[in-house]
Order: sequence, then structure tokens, then C-alpha cells
Amino acid sequence: MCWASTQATFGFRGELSSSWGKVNASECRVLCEYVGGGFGSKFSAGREGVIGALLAKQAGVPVKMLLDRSGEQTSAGNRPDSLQKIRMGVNKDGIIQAVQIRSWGTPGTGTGGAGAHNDGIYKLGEVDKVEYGVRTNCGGARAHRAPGWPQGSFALEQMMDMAAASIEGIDPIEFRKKNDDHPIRGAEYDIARERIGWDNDRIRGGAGSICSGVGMASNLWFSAGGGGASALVRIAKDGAVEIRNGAQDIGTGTRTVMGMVAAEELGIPLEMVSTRIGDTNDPQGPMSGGSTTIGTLTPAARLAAHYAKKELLAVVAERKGWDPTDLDIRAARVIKNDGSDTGLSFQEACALMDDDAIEVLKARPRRNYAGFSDTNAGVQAAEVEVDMDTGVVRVKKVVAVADAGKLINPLTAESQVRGGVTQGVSYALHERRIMDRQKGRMLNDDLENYKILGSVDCPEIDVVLIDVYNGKSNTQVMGLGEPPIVATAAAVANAVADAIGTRIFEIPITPKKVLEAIAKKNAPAGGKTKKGARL
Amino acid sequence: MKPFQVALPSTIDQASKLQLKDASPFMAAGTDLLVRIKDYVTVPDMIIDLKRIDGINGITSDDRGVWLGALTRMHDVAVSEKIQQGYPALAETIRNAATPQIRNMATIGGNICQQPRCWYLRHEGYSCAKNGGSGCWARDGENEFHAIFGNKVCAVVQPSNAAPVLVAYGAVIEVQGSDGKREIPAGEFFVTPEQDPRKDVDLTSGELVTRILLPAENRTTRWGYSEAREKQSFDWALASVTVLLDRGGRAGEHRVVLGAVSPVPLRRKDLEKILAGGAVDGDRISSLKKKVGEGATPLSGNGYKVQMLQGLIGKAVRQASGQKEG
Ligand SMILES: Cc1cc2nc3c(=O)[nH]c(=O)nc-3n(C[C@H](O)[C@H](O)[C@H](O)COP(=O)(O)OP(=O)(O)OC[C@H]3O[C@@H](n4cnc5c(N)ncnc54)[C@H](O)[C@@H]3O)c2cc1C
Ligand code: SF4
Repeated sequence: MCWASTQATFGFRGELSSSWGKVNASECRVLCEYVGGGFGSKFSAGREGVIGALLAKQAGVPVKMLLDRSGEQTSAGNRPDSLQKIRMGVNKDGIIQAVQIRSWGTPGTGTGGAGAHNDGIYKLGEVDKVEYGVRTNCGGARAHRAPGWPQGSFALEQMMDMAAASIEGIDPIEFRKKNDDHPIRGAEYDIARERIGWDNDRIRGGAGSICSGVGMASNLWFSAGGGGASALVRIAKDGAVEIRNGAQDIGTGTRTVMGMVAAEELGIPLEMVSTRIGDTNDPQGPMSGGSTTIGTLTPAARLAAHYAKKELLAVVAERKGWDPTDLDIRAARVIKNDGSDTGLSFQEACALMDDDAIEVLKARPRRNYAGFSDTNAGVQAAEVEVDMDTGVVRVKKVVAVADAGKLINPLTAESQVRGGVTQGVSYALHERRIMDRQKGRMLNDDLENYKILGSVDCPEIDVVLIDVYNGKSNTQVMGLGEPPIVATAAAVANAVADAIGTRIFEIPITPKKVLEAIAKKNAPAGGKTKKGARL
Repeated sequence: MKPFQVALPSTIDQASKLQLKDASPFMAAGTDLLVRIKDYVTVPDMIIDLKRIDGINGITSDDRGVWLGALTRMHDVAVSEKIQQGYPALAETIRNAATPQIRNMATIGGNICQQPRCWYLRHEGYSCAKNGGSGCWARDGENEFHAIFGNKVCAVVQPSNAAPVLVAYGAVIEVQGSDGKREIPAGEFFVTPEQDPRKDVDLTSGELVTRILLPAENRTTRWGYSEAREKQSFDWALASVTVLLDRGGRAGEHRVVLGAVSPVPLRRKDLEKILAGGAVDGDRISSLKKKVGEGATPLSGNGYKVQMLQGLIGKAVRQASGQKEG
């Protein structure tokens, strides 16, 4: 038995039973009720997970394995660094003709996982892209919320702004719209433009001691879910309803959402449904990765609930001599199709069962749902203030316009967007590994100098959720865990450029880099940019 | 963390003797010391907790000025009316420091005695001139947050927010060991690496800080304090400037002290002289900006601090002379 903080209970079990772990899958049970934050790093059991289990097996006693901060940061993998070179060709009308992208990423001592994703959002014309993995002796790569996307976006979206600036009379948003045919994003640009105050007057371009700027970037995600999940719905004779699946809740509210879908389908309030998750003895569920948990699980949950209700109504029809196709359940009452009450409550209906319970196990339907979508859009705009004397950047506000198919639980959806933006601002301004060039050791394997955004520095986050019933499944839902972090750092970088009148091409945007950029811009030789031009 | 014992002396004399015996460290609130112990940077068998000692906690005043007991919490110093009225730059710098949680715990004595934050010094994998080895890793290594002045032997920066402001107010640090009391001007309390790279402050074994005096004759309402930090909370200043004009109402007696740019708070008489030369106008501010980087010997990664000081001195001087942000 293994209690793991993991994003993949079944994947964890698989790793333990692989040739490396040498434990029989059926002998092994992985439990994870609450992950407590994963963000990609707990996608696999990792060495630490397998070693803990092997030690327990060999010693025959319980073993607790815990990485401290330093262990996490030096031995459990990192979000890979990325270096990119981009060239873009645009015609006079502002239509992108071709893009050349070379990217170098650091998978540590391993391979893979270090690419920069940036060629999916806009229509880029001819794309010539080559990605290289550069081995470094700095620990391996691990997934980090939208792996490769914030990196790719940071470079490409700055290129987009620079390309827009090279064409007379086109503003960065208009330029994006011209090169983007996503219908939802098209509307999202306008919402972001208005809510960030894009067209307000401001002291920008380095013209004051405190300068202000706005910037924009978009995102894309593929999260309608896939196969590999089943849900079990159990209606007991005493009226207790349970939905079970063995996958974990990475913090996105999987537990609640499963219950909501089952409750709605069964026609009873959420409080009457208990959800059990995070146990490999229960039906198979997906790993929480690629923001696909909700899209993978809820269709199975809905289907299982649907058939469980049918079975219950069949029992009722048989006992009462009613027509089963004329029955339904609403507000925990058995009703007829014309809406009239049969006089039976849900509980009374359950009591009519001969057996102890009805149990229905259903897999996610494998249908095509032609005409529905499996990509979400999204646009973010940032407003920053930069102190030209000290180089300190403050992100004042981020408008995050997001869509994720049908929004089952707007509260948890909004919280994902807030979290993504917060992490994105942190990535833009603070986060980095400091590697000693002499000994190659990480000097900031702690939370003091590995800085993360704190509450005082957190901007106002204006979340605009767009409910579109377009997801490719019977719940029409899409995931929203990763999409909201993709565009944030790029939007902040574009806003900083607008504010200070010169660009910073490296993350994090620290006071040091801002001051250096300002000094370079003010140096006599550096005056290449047109005065007053948006960069 | 290696287990350790805690001694709880109730007098200064007991505390002092305990330290003389086996060099165990003193602990005030432990916000610095305990972190070092957890990270194996300091590995004591015993720590000497000062909290039971009477008479070194709280704020009092007499003819000489305002006395801060070493165990007074940073928060209590920042909100004290005596401090806000007489020594407002001190209240301001403390408000900017660390986090509310830390300010509610940490003491003013611990603040001025805290160990510098150099990431080599606080990494168990390195030894250098400051902790018993030789040489300085930061000089040829990663030094973005390090000193730009006085950094030949060791390039740490004095991490205490209060330190440069105390120097500007001409504070006096009262220390006491089993041999008796000493009073040390704040400007001499902080030890340069040239004097002794291993030491941060002028305390000998068995001596502890008991009180800090803010002299009555150095009050002034014409003050400016500016600093820059990457994050506004849970972080350290990258550079700070304290400006006091006409201390104690004595025309032309100015103080300019730079913080977080050298191993000790850096009083700049040359800048004070420029200020004494006449009204604070645009020209004077330009000369200050031009001068503030003089003598700096930036390392590979911290040259930006000169530029930052130029911005900060403008802000502090304008604030001290009652001008608006320009
Ligand atoms: C996240 C974070 C951010 C921070 N940011 C800032 C900042 O911006 N500005 C700033 O100034 N500080 C900052 N600090 C440091 C903090 O202010 C200090 O840790 C605190 O002031 C130390 O006080 P303490 O009472 O906890 O000292 P302790 O940890 O108890 O002691 C610190 C050191 O001083 C010695 N000592 C303590 N009291 C005495 C005494 N009376 N006599 C002799 N020696 C003594 C101890 O032996 C020890 O070596 C930050 C700390 C953290 C963790
Ligand atoms: S700056 Fe000082 S503490 Fe840091 S490595 Fe150099 S000598 Fe050591």
C-alpha cells in the first residue's frame, strides 16, 4: 500500500510494477486523496517514489520518503530553460508569411521535454522550426504547468509585438486578430482590450519616472480529454449515492465536479452524492496532466449516472406497474414526463429495490462528436508600472479571458485562472535557478532566493470566463489547469516594453535587467527605435 | 537539523558566562538563527535563549534620548510614537523589512546582529573567508545581490534594514558581557571584512547587545528614505539610501548613508558635503547622482546597483527636502 502525493495514482502503480520497481501491480494499491499541489512535478513516481516503495518492500516496514526543499529543487527535476531565436516575415498588410524558429532547451542529463511550443496559436504561414535539447548537469526536466508553452509564448508574443510595430498603423491587437482565425479568441481580444484600459492615456515609453504600459498575449490548449477512464455509480437501497473513480484530485476540484455531474444526471442535489477518488482499487482514471482530467472523467461519470438512474427507474416501473420511459427524477422526486409528481421521493424509490444496491460501471464513450472542439482559446492582457529609477516592475492588473467548454463549476474554474496568472507573473518577474558557474551547484535551492510572487505583489486579477458549449464529449467540458499560465509572462513582457520603451528578452524581468535595458537604450549608440513607437 | 539544547539564562551575566564557556550562539526570536540551524549553516550543540532576561525589552526614554531594548520586536519599534516622531526614517525602514510575520517576531537586537545572506555563506557546500576558509566565491561567481563597495575581501552586504538608519541617526549600541558595559557608536559597530572577515559586528565572546540609544540631539523631521527590492514582501533590499537633513536642527548637519551595497552601512561624507553646499535643486541632485557611484568596484553581476543608487538618492533627497517625486 502506498500513500503518494501524485498526479497519477495508476501511473504510480505502473511505475512500481515496472521492471525497475519490481512489485506486482495487483499486489500494489496506491492512495492519494489530496495531492496538495502538483503542477506537473508529480506526474511520475520519480526516483524518490520508487525508492521509498522498494525500501519498504525490502525492509518489511513502513517507510516515509520526503524531499525537503533542496531535494525537490536539485533532484526532482525542473521546468526547463529555453533559448529561442525567431524570425518572422510579414507582408505590408500585416499578414504573417513565414516564421523561422530555433529553440534550445535544457532537459538536464536526460532527453526530451525541453521544446518550446509557440507554433499553434497564430496562422504563421510557412514554419521552419527546429528544437534542440542541450544536456546540462543540472538535474532533469520535469513537467511544469503547460510544459514548454510559457517559454514558447514569451518569445513568440514579443515577436508578434515587434512585427506589429514594424507596420505603420497596426496596433498589436489588430495584428493578432489579422493572424488568428479562432472564433472565440476573436471575441476575447476585444474583452481584454476594454477591461485592461488598452486605449487609456498613460505615461509610457520611458517618458516619466514611473511609467505604465499594457501588453497582450494569447493561449491555446487541447483538453477535451480522452479514453482511459471509467466511473462507478452506486445507488444503495437506503438512498445513499456514491460515485467512484480511482484518479486523484490535483487541486482542481475533481471530486466536486464528479459529484456535480452525477447529481445533475440523477436529478438529486449534490449533497446526496458522495464521491470517492484517489484509490487504485477503484475504476481506472486518468493522470492529471494536460488539463484532461475533467474532460476524461466527467463523460464516464455522466454515462454511469445515466444508466444507474435508468436501472433505478426500471425497478420503480416494475414494482408500480408504470411505464419506465415515462419516468424521470428531478429535485430528488420521481416524476412523469409531463412533470407531474408520482408521489415517490428518490429515497422511497431506492427502497423498492430487491438488491442491496444498483452498481453501474461505464467507460468514457468513444464517440467522435463531430463539429465540437477540443481546443480552448484564451487571451490575457497585463498592465504594469515600472519605476524608471529603480527598475522595479509592479504588475498592477491582469485581465484573463478564458474559456473551457461548458463551465461545470465556475468557482473552481476561476480559481484555476487566478492560480495560473499568479504563477505566470511569478515566472515573469522572479523565478529562476541560480547555478554557481564555479562548482555548478544550485545556490538558491530554497524559497529565499528562489523567489516566488507573494501576496503583496500579486496584481488585481480580472477573470472573465466565457461559457461555450463546444467541448468534444457528452459533458462539453474542457480542462483549464494549464491554459491560464501560458500567456501571462509574455503579456507582462510586452507591457514592460510598452512602459519603458525597450524590450527585455530574458526572464525573469528583474530590476537589474530593467535598469540595464534602460541604460542601453539611453546610451548614445542605441537609439535605433523610432520615437514614440510602440515596441 | 542536528538536535541541540536550549539554555534559558535569566541574567546578562549568566548568558555571557554560558557563551564564554563553549561559544554557543545567543538567540533572540530565532528568525535568522533557527533557519541557519535547519540549513546546517550553523550547527550548535546548545543555543542561549535571551528571552528570560529582564531589562532588555521595551522602549524607554531619558535625557539622552530614546532607548530600544535589544529584545523589542521590530513591529513595536515601527509603531512606537517616540520613534515615529523623533526618528521616522527608522520606523519607515522597519516597515519595509521582511514580512509582517517576521516583524512581529524578530527583535531589533537580532536585526542588527543577523548574519549576512550571501548564498555561498549559507550553502553547506562552500567555505570562504567569512566562515573559516579563504577567498571569496562571490567575486568570481554569482554576485547579483552582492556589494559594490568595499568588496575586495568579502562582498556580502549588511542585510539589516535598520543598520544604515541607525548609523545616520548616530545611534549608540550598548553591549554588555560579564566584564561590564561598552557603548559603541553604530558607525563603528559593524565590522568591515578588512577589519575581520569572520565578524559582522563588534562583539567579543560573551558580549550581547542590551540596548540601542537614539540620541535626543539627532532628531530631525527632515528625512528621506528610499530603497528598492524585487518583491515588496519576503525579500531583502537591493539598495537603500537614508538622508537626514539638519540633524537636531543644526543647519548643514546632514547624513547620507547607503545600505545593502557594502559589507557595512556606508556613510558618504562626500555626498553630505554636496548637500551642505546649498539648496536642493535639480543641479544639486544631478551632482549627487553623478557622485554616488564614485569609489564603487562593481563585480560581474551587480553594476546595476550604481544606477539604482542614482535613482534612490534622488528620491530620498527630494523626500527629505519636501519635494514631490519628479
Ligand atoms: C524572508 C525574510 C525576509 C527578510 N527581510 C529582511 C529585510 O528586508 N530587512 C531586514 O532588515 N531583515 C530582513 N530579514 C531578517 C530578519 O529581520 C532577521 O531575521 C531578524 O531581524 C532577526 O531577529 P531575531 O530576533 O529573530 O534574531 P535571531 O535569529 O534570534 O538572531 C540573529 C543573530 O543575532 C544574534 N543575536 C540576537 N540577539 C542578540 C543580542 N541581543 N546580542 C547579541 N547577539 C544577538 C544571534 O546570535 C544570531 O546570530 C528577513 C528575514 C526573512 C526570513
Ligand atoms: S561574499 Fe563573503 S560570505 Fe560570500 S562568498 Fe565571498 S567571502 Fe564568502
